[in-house]
Amino acid sequence: MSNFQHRRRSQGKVLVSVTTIAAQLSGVMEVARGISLGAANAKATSARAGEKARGFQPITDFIDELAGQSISMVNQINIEALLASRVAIAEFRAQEARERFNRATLMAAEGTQLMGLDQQLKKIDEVLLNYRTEFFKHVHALGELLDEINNRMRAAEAITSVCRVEATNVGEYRESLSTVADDLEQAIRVIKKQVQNCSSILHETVLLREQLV
Amino acid sequence: MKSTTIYEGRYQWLVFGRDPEKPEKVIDTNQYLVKTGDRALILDPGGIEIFSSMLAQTLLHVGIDQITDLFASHQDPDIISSLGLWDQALPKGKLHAPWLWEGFIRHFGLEHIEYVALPDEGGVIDLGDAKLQVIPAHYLHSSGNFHVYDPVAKILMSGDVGAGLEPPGKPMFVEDFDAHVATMKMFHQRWMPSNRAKNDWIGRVRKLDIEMLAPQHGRIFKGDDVGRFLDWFEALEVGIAVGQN
Repeated sequence: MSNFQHRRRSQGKVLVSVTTIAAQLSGVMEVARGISLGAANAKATSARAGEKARGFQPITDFIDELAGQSISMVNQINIEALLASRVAIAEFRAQEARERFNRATLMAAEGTQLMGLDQQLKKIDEVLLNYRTEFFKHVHALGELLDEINNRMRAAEAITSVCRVEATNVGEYRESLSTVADDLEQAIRVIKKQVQNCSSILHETVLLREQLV
Repeated sequence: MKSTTIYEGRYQWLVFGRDPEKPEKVIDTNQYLVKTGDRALILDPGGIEIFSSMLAQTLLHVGIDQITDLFASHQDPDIISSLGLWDQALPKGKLHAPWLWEGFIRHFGLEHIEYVALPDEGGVIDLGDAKLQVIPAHYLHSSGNFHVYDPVAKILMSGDVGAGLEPPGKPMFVEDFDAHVATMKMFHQRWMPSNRAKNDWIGRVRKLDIEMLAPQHGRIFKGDDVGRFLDWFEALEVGIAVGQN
């Protein structure tokens, strides 16, 4: 395989993996929507439980907020992944053009000069450098957003413990509020796993991309 | 890639083709360059696979800043799939192409070059010294299709009309019309869908004073061979695949 073909294949992989992140996180969106629904049910249960479930209300508010923030962050990640993917495509095209400009130079007979091509090669190198910078900027933003979701999930884990304790104080509503804690715990596990997958993909993408520099 | 000057006056017409670097299964194409004092137009610049050869040839004749215009007779990949690369190469430029195909041709990549949408009735590409007429050739073979006529050079760039399929390395001009017919027959019968469109185009083209009929594949017709081609094409039944199965 020629260097050109190898680079082309690697760039193709970068393109695919950065786009995969958005697809992977569509699962998080569904889980977050489930959390939001669970929080609404928990709110209704704690309202029925009245005074006994007073300590539970801030928890349901937190869960609801958590679901909203997760949805919003996944949306931001989708936007960043899309922007990174667009930059990767633009860079892929510019790189293709650069390779072909080079080939044109090699094709010209010795001693002949292809008018204006040197200048165009310089320009395209500048363009490629800008794309590279832009790509890493989006990848960095993606990494930060993934870390942020992870941090929120850690906070949510702490809340599930509080949730269980509070559930013991609500008498006949104990079972249904314990279920809220179970569901939340399960949702956190799923989200953490998917975020971890995405972080690995992102890490591999960065390594692959750095090899291309 | 071979380059041949086919008109030399206040400006030049060149044809590029017979590219030995081209992958074997990629159809051979003719690209045309009209070069005036300070501007240049490339007619049907070709596909991605021949871009490097094409760029190398072109820049031996004109500076990159001088290439101001591209023309795509229709949307096919062998005509214009190199657009995304030209878009990176040309600091400024216009692509003259059928309005019908704008949304499709843009899929090849168009960020810097301006798309000049040609209306169905055609128009003029004004290069200053050269004023080229855009002649409608719809359904020959594409549903939005144009040819370019130069009344000074008396050249009609006829896209797929007049195309012949031959092994690599054949001469640039038709030498024996009768022998050449075999290379064109199937191409025209199968790729051209409409007898009505064909006859409409022949009627339009017969009014033009043509010294050279320059297709995008195969050989160029000169002098009396232009009329011979029009007569042959007029008598040919096209769109033959209909009802074959």
